[in-house]
Amino acid sequence: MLESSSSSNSGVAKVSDLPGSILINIFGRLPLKTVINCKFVCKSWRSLISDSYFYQVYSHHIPTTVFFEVKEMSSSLLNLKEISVIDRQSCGIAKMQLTTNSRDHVVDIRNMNIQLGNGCNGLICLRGVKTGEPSLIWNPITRQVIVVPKPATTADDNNVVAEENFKAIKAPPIFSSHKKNKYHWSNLGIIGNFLSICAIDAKAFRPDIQVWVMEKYGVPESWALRFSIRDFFIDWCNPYRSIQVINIRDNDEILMLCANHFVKLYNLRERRFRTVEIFDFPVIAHVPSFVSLKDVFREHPWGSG
Amino acid sequence: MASTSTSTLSRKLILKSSDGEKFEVDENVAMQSQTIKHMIEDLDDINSPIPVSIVTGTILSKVIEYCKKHATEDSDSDEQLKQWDKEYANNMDLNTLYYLLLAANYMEIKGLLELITQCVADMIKGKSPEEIRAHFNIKNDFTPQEEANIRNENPWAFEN
Repeated sequence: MLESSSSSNSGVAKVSDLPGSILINIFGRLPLKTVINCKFVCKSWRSLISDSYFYQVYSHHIPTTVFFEVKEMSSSLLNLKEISVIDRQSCGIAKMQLTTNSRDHVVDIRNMNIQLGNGCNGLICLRGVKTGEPSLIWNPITRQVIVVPKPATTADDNNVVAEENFKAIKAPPIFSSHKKNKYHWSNLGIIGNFLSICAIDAKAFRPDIQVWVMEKYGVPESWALRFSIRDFFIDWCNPYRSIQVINIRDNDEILMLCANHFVKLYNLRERRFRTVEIFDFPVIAHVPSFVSLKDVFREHPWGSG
Repeated sequence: MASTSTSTLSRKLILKSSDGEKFEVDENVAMQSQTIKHMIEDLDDINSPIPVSIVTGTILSKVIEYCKKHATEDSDSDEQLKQWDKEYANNMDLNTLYYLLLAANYMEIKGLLELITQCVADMIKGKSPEEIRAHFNIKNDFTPQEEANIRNENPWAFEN
């Protein structure tokens, strides 16, 4: 708007004249480090990047998925001081460390031993390990943390404890239909706008993988099988068999992280895997969001604490 | 197949830019633009000029250059076409790139939009906030206090 006098018809355009949708598509192609830099350029860029629409665009570009290096995957216990963010760029991998400045944290999470829970929409659930330690919702990119009150009941094997008022949500029928419950689940997530869960045949050498989505949030009858991958050949030796679905792309390709090391694309139509990247250390995939927790929880009692 | 494609190829359309410049193009060239494609469907008289209201003649000629190259399918390999795209984008100054972006967005030419978006992203990639402002002539509109707060905000220190 400031440039309206100079940019009307005189032929001098400015990047600020571009519609937000075009800018967001430009930002969506940048590595994390540069996106963070763009936030500091001017106010309008800052608000575009902090918008949830940017997250949606960003989550669909493979190169922008970041990975957290975790030291000890087996226990999934970690100290946040030990997390590095791996930002994949065309020129290689840039590592970032969490800095020690935490003066705006309600809880000093750096000195807690925590368990990484599931994440969605760029937010990660952290669980304190010691009794009395709270659970937290963390946006590692904006460094914000919100303390979550303890749920009244703990989750048992067949139930999922969801956010909000912590009602237990029944897991898809596949987990409870047989007595010899051979499927185990791995990673809750969000696919499209649906709560999703990934089920893996725990014992088989070439297991089936099923991805279920809850088509109506909170309605257990609405669990539906979104897709399954048959005869999933595990070409690595890992007892945990964790599968993390990162996103489903428009052309029916599923980006997933397998066993915390292998980034693979599975094409649903061709039924074929393509390896995108192999890490030689364990990682967790994360799609960064720049949305402020203050905005997410603005109307919510947790937000005030 | 052959007869229908030659008959569509021979049809000509006239595109009229915002500043009144007229361009005669083959229909299959113009049809790369979804916007024009939809306009033609609603058009009774194909011989009257089709207004491309927000695009100037200078920019429209560049858009047509891109569409012509991409309308002829089998003459070039993918590799050659990519190379052509690269040179095409590299020859544009920043000002032209902005207007091309706006034009490709308005005319809904997916390939061109993709190409220029990536080109601008490549210019931003790896630059510091100061470098980005200088390169794109963006005014820093944060107050000193806001800037100080922002500097404290970033939790990640980059090693490299």
